Formats: sequence, C-alpha cells, structure tokens
Amino acid sequence: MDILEVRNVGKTFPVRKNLFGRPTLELHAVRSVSFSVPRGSVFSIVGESGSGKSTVANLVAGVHRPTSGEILLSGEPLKESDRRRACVQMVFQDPESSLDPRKTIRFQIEEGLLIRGMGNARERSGRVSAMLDLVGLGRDLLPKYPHELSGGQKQRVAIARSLILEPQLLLLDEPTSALDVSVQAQILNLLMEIRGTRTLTYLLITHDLKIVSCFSDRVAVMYLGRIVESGTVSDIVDSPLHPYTRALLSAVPDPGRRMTSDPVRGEIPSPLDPPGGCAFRTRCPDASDVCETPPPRVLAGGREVSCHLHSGRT
Amino acid sequence: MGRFILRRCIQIVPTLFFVLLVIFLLMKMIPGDPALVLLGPEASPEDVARFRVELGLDRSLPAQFASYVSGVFRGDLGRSLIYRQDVLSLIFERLPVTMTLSVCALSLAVLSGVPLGIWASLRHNRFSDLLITTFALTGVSVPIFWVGMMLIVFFVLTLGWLPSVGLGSWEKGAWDVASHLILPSFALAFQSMGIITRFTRSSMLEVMRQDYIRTARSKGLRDRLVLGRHALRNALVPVVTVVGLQLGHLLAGAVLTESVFALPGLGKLMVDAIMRRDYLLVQGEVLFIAVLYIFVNLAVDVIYAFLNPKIRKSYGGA
Ligand SMILES: Nc1ncnc2c1ncn2[C@@H]1O[C@H](COP(=O)(O)OP(=O)(O)O)[C@@H](O)[C@H]1O
Ligand SMILES: [Mg+2]
Repeated sequence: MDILEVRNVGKTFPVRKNLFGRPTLELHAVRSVSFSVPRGSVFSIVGESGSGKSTVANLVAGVHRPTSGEILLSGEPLKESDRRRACVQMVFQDPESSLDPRKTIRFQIEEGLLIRGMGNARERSGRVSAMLDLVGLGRDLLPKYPHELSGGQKQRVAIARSLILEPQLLLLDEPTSALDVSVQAQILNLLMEIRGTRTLTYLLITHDLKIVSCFSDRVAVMYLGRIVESGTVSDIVDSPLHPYTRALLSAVPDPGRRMTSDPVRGEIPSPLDPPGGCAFRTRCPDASDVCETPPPRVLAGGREVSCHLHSGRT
Repeated sequence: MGRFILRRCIQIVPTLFFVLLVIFLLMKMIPGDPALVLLGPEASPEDVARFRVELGLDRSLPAQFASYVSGVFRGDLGRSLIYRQDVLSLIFERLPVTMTLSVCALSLAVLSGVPLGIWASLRHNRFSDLLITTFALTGVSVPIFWVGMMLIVFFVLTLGWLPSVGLGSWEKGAWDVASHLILPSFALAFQSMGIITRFTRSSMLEVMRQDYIRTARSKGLRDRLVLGRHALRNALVPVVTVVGLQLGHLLAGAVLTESVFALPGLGKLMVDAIMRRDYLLVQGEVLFIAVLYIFVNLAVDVIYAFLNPKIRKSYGGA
C-alpha cells in the first residue's frame, strides 16, 4: 500500500477579510492535486517558487487543513489530531529559521523524545549521540546554540531532529536551496545514505530539476497550484510532454554555468488572478486558442499530463 | 557577561561627557546675561559685575566648563534661585512622585500591552486583532495631555468617581494615594501601551512564522507549550528593549502628565523652573534626566544581553 495518497486536494488562503472575518479575496495555492507515493520511494515535486509546493508539504504534515479533498497516510485519512503524528517529519529550506535560536542543539534534537516521554535520560542521550553520528556531526556541538553553527551543520541538525522520531515519511522542503553548492551535495549524499540504512520515504520538494534527476523515483511538476505533469524520472527528464516541463529542463544549466534567474520566459502570473483555461498558456510557446479551455488530463503508461497538445494520445 | 557589562560601563564615559558639554553649551546659548536676569533690571552695574565674578561668568568658556564638570562630580548642581535650595536635594525631593508615576504607568503599559499584543497575534486578522490594533494605534497617536484632560472630564467631572488633581495623602489612607495616581498613570501609560502592544504583536507574528514553530508542532508539542517554550521566549526578547526605551519615554511624558494633573514631581519642577528662568535648576534637572536615561539604557542592554545567547556566549559564560 502507498504510504501517502493525496486525492483531489485543494487549499485556498483568505487574503483579505471583511470586518466580520468573511474572506473577500482568496488565493488558490493548491487546486485539485492528486498523487501517491509508494513506501520506500523518493517522490519529487518541482516547480517555480509560488507554485504551491510548500503548501502541499504543509498539508501532508498537517500544518494546514485541506480546503477540499483527502490525504491518506498508509491508507488512513489524515485527521485533525494526526498533526501530531511522529511518522511524518519535515526538514525545511531555511536553516536559520528551522532551529530555535534560544535552545541548545542537544535540546532541539532531544525534544521530540521528551515530548513523547520516550526513554530515560541515558537512553535519550544515547539516541541523540547516535543521531549525531548518523548525520556526521561531532558531540562537541551539543551544548552550542544555532548561531554557532554553519548552514550545512544546521541542516544536519534539522535532519537529526526529524529522524530521532523514527518517521516513515520525511518531507524535504527545498532542503538544500539555501546552502552553498558544495554543501548542497554533501547534504543530498547524506540524505541518500540515510535511506540506505532504514525504510524511509522522501517527499522531496525542489525547484532544481538537476537534483531530481539523480535522486528520485517519481516526479510531479507543479505550476500555479496544479500538477501539470507527473511520471517516473526517466519519463519526465528524458521525454517531457508538457511545455512547462520542457522549459524547466532547458533551463537546467551545464555544470559550471550559472543558473539563469528566469528559467521560463515571462513572469509567473499572480496566483490571485491566474489565467483561465490552461494556466500556463500566457507563457507557453505552443499556446493556441484551444488553451483557453481547461486542459484535459491525459493518462498514458503510468504517466500523466494536463495539456491540449497531448489530448490525442491515450 | 562581566566583560560585557564592564565594556558598556566604560562606553558611558564619553556619552556622559558629551551630555555635559551639550547641556553646558545650551545654557550658554540662552540669550541674555544670567546675572542681569537674576538680579533684576534695577541692579547697579557694579552689583552685576560682582555677581558675574561670583558665578564665575567672567572666566573663559573652557574654565567655566571645567568648574561645571568638577561641580557635577562633587554632586554640586548649584542652588535653585526660586526655591533657595540645593538643586540636587530639590530633585531628590520631587523624584519619588515622578518615579512612582512612571513605574505605575510602565507596569500598566506592560501588563496590558504584552498580553494584548500576544492575543492579537494569536487572533491574527480576526475581529479581536482588528479591535486591539485599532486601540493600540489610538494610544500611539493621541497626545498625552489630551488623554489626561479627557480622563479628567469623564471620570472626575462627569462621573465623579475619582478625585481630581493633585497628590493624595497617606493620612487619608492608601486608597486616597492610589486613587490620585490612577488617572495620571493611565494617561501616561496609554501611548507606551500602544507601542508595546504593536511591537509584541509583530514580534509574535514574526516568530510564529518560523519553521521551528512548525517543527515543534510536528514533534507533537501541544499548542500551549509551543507558545510557552518556543514562541514567547523568542518573541519577548526584543520586547524587553522596547519596554526599556519606554521608561525613558515615560520620564519625558511625566512632564506633561504632571502638569495636567498638578502633581509635584520632576516634570512640574521643570516646567516651573523654565517659566521662572531658574537656570541652574533647569540645567541640573536636564542633566539628571539625561543621566537617568543613560543608566536605564545600560540596564536594558545588560538585560537584553543576558537574555540573548549570542551575546552571552561571546563574552564567555560568567
Ligand atoms: N499561509 C498562507 N497564507 C496566504 N497565502 C499563502 C500562505 N502560504 C502560501 N501562500 C501562497 O500560496 C502560494 C503558493 O505558495 P507556496 O506553497 O509557498 O509555493 P512554493 O513552495 O512552491 O514556492 C503563494 O502564492 C503563496 O503566496
Ligand atoms: Mg516553498
């Protein structure tokens, strides 16, 4: 059974409210997103900033409640009380904000155990040390505060802190995008190594297709709150179907060349007022009149794409 | 930590020197010959000349400054002409009223501002948030003397619930003293309360957005503990600084409040001194308030450093 199943999940945020708390303007951060993640696999979500990737992660983590749709964890619907499940843990993009500046490293790693009343002091301290070894940090860091650590070290602490609760699903929300390139590789390798030693499923969120191609099993490409294309890594990277995926792939730089700041031509439209029909049509090189109507969802051989170009294939 | 305090204390020296210099020069820039003003227009030129020598006004500016500074360090701020009394002892006589007023106002501002700010942040963008932020904005924008007068009109003149102006007396019991302090404290606190509320709210919202708050939740920590263990501790540290700065603010506000409520504190003393051109009293009081302000800031810095692991650590534990 799939460890995570997301069924037609949508999330709207009230942007403006009237005096009585009724929303007068809403932002559809995620619209009818569906995907499922087999146990033990790495599932990636890619897309430009603002496409709703973090919102999906927050929904899975239970930080937000979906406005519509359903999320199943190991076949069980996620309920309000499930926010507290240890089996789903998160690692965030910004190492600065992911650690409490006023708590020692030891406390932050140990806290999960303390909250659940697991073990006595000696057992806990043993678990903390084991976690430090796992993420390749020295014990001398334990009494330190976050500001004394480098970005990479903080991200290792964040990983240790998540893993100490023995989660089955780890949500990685751009875990390396705030780090130096050399450190990025180290953290990615670490994450891969860790997966070798235990059954762990990763939901990896990134805007960097390069990471995806050498790292994951299945990929979903998001644009303005929707999944526009999904499939296995080789499907997506070797034969992309959606024009947006192609644009993202062509923006992946050769080693040594700087990533262009604007991978796809034109500005991403405001999520408050997305184009009707196919949301990508304003930037799509292949757009035609038919794109003003909602694109069909085309399923073919385990992959899926939402695009009029492919409405002929089945 | 000890090194940090020591360093901050040493930093005070140049500040203090600068304050002395500015006050001295300001007093020199006031138009008119102090001797002439003090003796009145009928004084004979010989009297004026003798008085100038007595006051040391015939000497060069640097010499006058030097004797001013050495006087200050001996605790000699001169004699008040209108009260015919030592300036410093006059200040200490009036200080308790102002201190009581400021401390009451600050307590009121903190005890209402911090909880209101936290509450507003937890109800972000809901009706109660709107209500609290509007209230706070009113506090920030309305002048103290206007608040004071409205309070008098409403609670004293219309409702007659509270005694009017002036100081209560202990002979008539504690309630008399307290009831005379309620309105001035509130008038003085209103602005600081607004500032503290707004600052607490934005500090809380900032912290609640941080990923470690989300993490604490996903680790299974209950909301109340997330608030107490992670959010408040981080959000309230910067609030300490603002509160400290408000104490300085309140000393300034006390001048206005004491005038409106006819309280015999430092502020009232200052206004009287200015009205009646009591140079030495004005000079002494300005210096006193400036020094008070400097030491309040020092205390705030030390507390802030103590609460901040970044600074505490870099100065080596103890
Ligand atoms: N808590 C929130 N309140 C209002 N809008 C939000 C909130 N979280 C995200 N959004 C909006 O939802 C959209 C998607 O955001 P996000 O999921 O963070 O995208 P990504 O992670 O792909 O960059 C953005 O337009 C963002 O402004
Ligand atoms: Mg994001």
